[in-house]
Amino acid sequence: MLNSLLNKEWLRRKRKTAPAVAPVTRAASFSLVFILVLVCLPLAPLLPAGTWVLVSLVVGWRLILLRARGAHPGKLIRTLLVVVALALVLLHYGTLLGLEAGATTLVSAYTLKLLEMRSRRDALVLSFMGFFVVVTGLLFSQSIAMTGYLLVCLVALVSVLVGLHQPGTQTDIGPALRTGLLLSAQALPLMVILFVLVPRIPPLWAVPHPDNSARTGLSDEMAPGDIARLSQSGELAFRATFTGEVPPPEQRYWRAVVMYWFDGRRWSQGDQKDWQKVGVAEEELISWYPQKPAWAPEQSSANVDYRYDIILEPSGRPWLPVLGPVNTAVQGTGLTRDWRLLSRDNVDLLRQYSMPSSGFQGMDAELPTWLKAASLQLPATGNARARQWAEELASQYGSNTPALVSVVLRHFREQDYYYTLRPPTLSGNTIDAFLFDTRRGFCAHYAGALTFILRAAGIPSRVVAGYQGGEVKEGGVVQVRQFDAHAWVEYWQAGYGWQRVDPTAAVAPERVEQGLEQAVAEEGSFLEGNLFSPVRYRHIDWVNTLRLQYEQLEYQWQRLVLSYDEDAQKDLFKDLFPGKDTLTVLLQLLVITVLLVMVISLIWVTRPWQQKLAPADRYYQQFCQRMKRKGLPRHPGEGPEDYALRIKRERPEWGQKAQEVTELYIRLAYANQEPQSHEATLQQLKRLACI
Amino acid sequence: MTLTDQVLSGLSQAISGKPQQLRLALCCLLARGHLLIEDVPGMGKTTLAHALARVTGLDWRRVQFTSDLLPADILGVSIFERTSSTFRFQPGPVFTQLLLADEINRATPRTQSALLEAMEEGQVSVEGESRRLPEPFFVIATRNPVNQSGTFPLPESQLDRFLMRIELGYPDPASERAMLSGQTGRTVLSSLPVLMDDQQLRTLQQQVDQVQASERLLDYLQRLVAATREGDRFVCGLSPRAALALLGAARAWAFLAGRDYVLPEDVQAVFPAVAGHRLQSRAGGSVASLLAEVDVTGSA
Amino acid sequence: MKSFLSQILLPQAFRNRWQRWLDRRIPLARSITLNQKSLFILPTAAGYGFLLVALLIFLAGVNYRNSLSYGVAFFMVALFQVALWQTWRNLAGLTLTARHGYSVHAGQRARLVVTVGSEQSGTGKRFGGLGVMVGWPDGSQPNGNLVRVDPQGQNVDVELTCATENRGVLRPGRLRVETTWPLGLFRTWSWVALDQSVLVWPSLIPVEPFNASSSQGEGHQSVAGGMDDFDGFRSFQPTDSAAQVDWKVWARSDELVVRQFHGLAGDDLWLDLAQAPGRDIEQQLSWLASQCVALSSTQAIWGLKLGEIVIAPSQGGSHCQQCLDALARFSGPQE
Repeated sequence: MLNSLLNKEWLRRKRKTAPAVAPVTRAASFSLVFILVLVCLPLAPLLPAGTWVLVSLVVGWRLILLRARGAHPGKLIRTLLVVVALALVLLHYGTLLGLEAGATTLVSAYTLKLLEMRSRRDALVLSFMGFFVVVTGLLFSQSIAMTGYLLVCLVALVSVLVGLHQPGTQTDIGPALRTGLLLSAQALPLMVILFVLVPRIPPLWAVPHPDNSARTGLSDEMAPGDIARLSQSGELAFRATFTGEVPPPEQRYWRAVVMYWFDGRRWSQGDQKDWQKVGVAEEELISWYPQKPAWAPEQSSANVDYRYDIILEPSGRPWLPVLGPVNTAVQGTGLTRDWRLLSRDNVDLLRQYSMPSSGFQGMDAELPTWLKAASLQLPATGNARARQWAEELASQYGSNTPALVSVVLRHFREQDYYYTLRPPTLSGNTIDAFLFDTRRGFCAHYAGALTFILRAAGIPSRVVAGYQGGEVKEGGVVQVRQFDAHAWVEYWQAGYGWQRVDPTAAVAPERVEQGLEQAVAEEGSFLEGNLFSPVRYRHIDWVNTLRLQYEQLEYQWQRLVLSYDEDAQKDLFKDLFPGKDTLTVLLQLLVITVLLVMVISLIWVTRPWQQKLAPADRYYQQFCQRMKRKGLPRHPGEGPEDYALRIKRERPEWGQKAQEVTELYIRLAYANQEPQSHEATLQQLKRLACI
Repeated sequence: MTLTDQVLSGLSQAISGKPQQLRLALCCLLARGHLLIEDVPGMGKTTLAHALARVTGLDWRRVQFTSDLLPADILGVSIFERTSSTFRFQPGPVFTQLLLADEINRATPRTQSALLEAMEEGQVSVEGESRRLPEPFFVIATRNPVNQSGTFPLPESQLDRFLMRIELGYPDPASERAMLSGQTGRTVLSSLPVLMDDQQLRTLQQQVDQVQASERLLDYLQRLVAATREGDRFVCGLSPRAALALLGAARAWAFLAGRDYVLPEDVQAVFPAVAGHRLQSRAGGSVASLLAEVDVTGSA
Repeated sequence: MKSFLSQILLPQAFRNRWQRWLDRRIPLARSITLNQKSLFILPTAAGYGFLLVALLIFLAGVNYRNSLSYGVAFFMVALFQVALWQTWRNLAGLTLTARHGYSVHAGQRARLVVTVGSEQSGTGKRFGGLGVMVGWPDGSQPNGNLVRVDPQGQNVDVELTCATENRGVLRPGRLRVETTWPLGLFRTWSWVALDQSVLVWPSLIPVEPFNASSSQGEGHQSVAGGMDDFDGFRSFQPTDSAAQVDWKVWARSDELVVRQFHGLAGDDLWLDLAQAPGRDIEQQLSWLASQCVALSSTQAIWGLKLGEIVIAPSQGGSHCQQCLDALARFSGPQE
């Protein structure tokens, strides 16, 4: 009671101060607060703690205001709040630009706008901002779950727009919500049409992308335990779809990073300084599309083993995993000297690309001196036992490199080496410690050790990191997760080129053939830190079925919707309308379908089929209409009998018919009549009145 | 030729050239209503009442209203009988089947209301005792619209008790000529045939009640009544009682036309007579313009 | 050619044209059902803002290659289209009917009632009919003098106000009907010509209490032979009616007496235009109107003389109204 009084008093005061604004109803204000929380929630992980406090404070203030207590913030306080909000963003991100900082600024602005909202105009601005904030959330995730959440947000936003126009007495949100849902549903068909048909265009200008640096994934350097840590993650790395045959597991080596530089502990790709040491410029390392690399042979399209395309999850890195060595680049990428594909920018958004995998196995005809130097680089000292063993091997086998390699592999296989996800920690001479003492390790240990031995024996070699294997799904889809990360070795064989060798396969062949889970089955260490990953529960049937179906759905969603860009659009309409210009086809279809939607909507709103009159009246009205066209309209106050008499008087030639129609109509409309003859009379009237 | 047609043709022998008014008068009788005739003296009001009484076989009386007329002069009075030492009720002129109340607006409001109450209730109470009036009971009152000085205009609430108000108006030349030559008018009254008795009249009244009014017709009637209440045509609109009266009159009109259902035309025919005296027009509103504007079919 | 052009460009000429066009398209009627012919629709400022936001989101979709952003942008465009039809439909089929008006004195705000409702015997539940604003826009009220109604398929009477300046029959101009429901992105409106009028009485001015010059004070004249009040008895005369005899007295006392009555009549005041003070006819009429209003609250009985128009003496509110009506309609002394 007191509240409502206070509220009235407040309203009166408000009217006095701002007479020309339409006030926002309480229900609408509440829903605006609700919507703010709803749309900002996906951005929650981005917000600095300070901004969190600010948002909660302001929302609380607004709620108190809605209970008609407290005062609206004055100009000074509002200014102060803006300054504080900006300072918080600057403190945390060091900038107001950039995607994360921008999103935080947007959330702060949105919240402060809510606080100072007074008129319906402010409320409209707020709900429009809501649409924008929702989209900001989409830049960070487009998963199916996020899409579902997006739909909820959109319906809520539409309902709020409706709610702003509800009568002030309406406190129930039900009607607004129902209307919002209805309107949203009605908007769907046109939305789908526009989505498919509006010609997609490439980005117009460069924009800041989400920061993916904290993501789990491959990195450009490798210490013995790194990949083991990666293998604790069930996150999706990429999906590849093969048209045609899917290669067997032992051939599914996805190359991503090649590491040359070893500092005694870690292997790394090397930076500019490292490469300058061996005297090589960047142009010789990488060639950007559409430039033809000097080192690549002409591609023969006939010799293609597999065709596939990949949808890569954002990784924050430029590497584009490819199956085996490649010798050609596509748009936006470059081909490296070691036959990998690099993106011009870091992959911060979902990225799709397709690659034919040719029979090309990286047959470098010759080894440049700088590359040879890099491939033989070792620290000056350390790991003496390994070096000694390598020298022994080198003196034994000389230039018979394959024999030397197979001896090392046999050593791994026959001695008691173990493949494990829980390798003991190594320090000091890590290679020696692993090779001769612990003998337990993960792929990185084996790859690193093999490369060290080969180099020490004078054979150019390098560590390759990437993914191996992946789960094969229906329709030629291979799904590769972070725990499929792997490292192996390539060594130089004169006259052949670079030869791939996987020392892990010697220790644990099941890792290559069946995947990581099988390889560490006895140990039980698979995803052990990841209790909630559905992948961990693969062996429980129904969880697995659910997981598989969800993954399938997510995959289809990615393939059909999220990767629907200008290329996908072009491909689709090239297939549907071969031999025609895609843009013309799109525009024509767009105009036709939009017109169609408009016409259907027009018919739907005018509803010509809805009869507003009883049949008898309708037919009689039709008769009157026809008489009107002949120049004898019925006056509103003229009864049917009088009208018939007037027709007869003024136009005797129609008198007869007018009388008949009138008689039938009177019988139907005014007289006592048995129901059985009613229908017959009606039909008679219809015949007479409509001819 | 039906009985009602015979009655009408009988009446027209007495008053020629006024078929519409005769029909309305008979309609009023059949609808169990009372009739108010507003006209200057000498237009044949008495002749109409007399002729109506004669052809329908009702007994009738006439009271000339004056300013000193007391309620007891109409209703009757209890006279003390010296011989029996009792009060004896001497019934007034109201105890008849057809009462002609001439120049009703000359009597004081007290006397007027005594009559009007009798009309409404169908009974009178004198000295605390109720006495039923005969059946049927039909009042024809006349009112002189000119020379208003010294008159007591009927209050609007009382006017509502009359089902219809009609004006006779001057006769057309041919009728007047016929009257002058003695072919019509008061002179033929005694030669008019008696066509029915009160029992038959009651039967006819019951038949009128059976006349059917369809939903559409009721809709129209309601729209018509509602239209009198809105806009600034009239000072105040028709009452629900007036709406019922209108329906009854329309039924009787349809019955006179030989139909067992009501048409909008029936409503329109009786509407001026039924509504005219109940509505006080303002801003140039008239009953005729109302009829022209309210849509019969109700599609808009 | 030049004059023709200037004619078009002249605002007044343009307004006339617009009026004529409107008159053809939406003719005067007591009751109007809004349809394709009578409705106009355009986006509101908020609607353009909404499209701008959609465009920004589209650009985000382009630059981030974000399919769902495209989706949101297209959703907004599609919603815009839905709003077009829904806003239109919110008014389409709505029937406005002119009802009565309440007379007021010039200078006060006249109140007129309009019924807003859906068509008769409409089948099925109507969607909409919400947030309909009706009124005669003038700057007098914050919301432009428009009143909100939410008929929702029912018939709702709404009382609208309209400024008055002069006495006489006021015909308010075209009635504005508009709605932005459900989303506020479009505004559908119509200018409806309802055949509606209200009588505006002359304005009120402060006046001295009025007494007729021939006044004899507040006494009442007794009119003999009246029937209102019992006066007394007198002895029976042969011409007396039997009904006047008090038979109870005779039964008691053997004396024939007759009851006597008399009527009452107050002084009749006459308000006469010819004697009304005032500079011009309008001021005189105002004076008369003000006197009528003042007298109606007393027991006084008064009559009104306006040249040839004479209103017989009476009393009370409805008599006052009759007098005011006559004053409002008075068209000046007949020459």
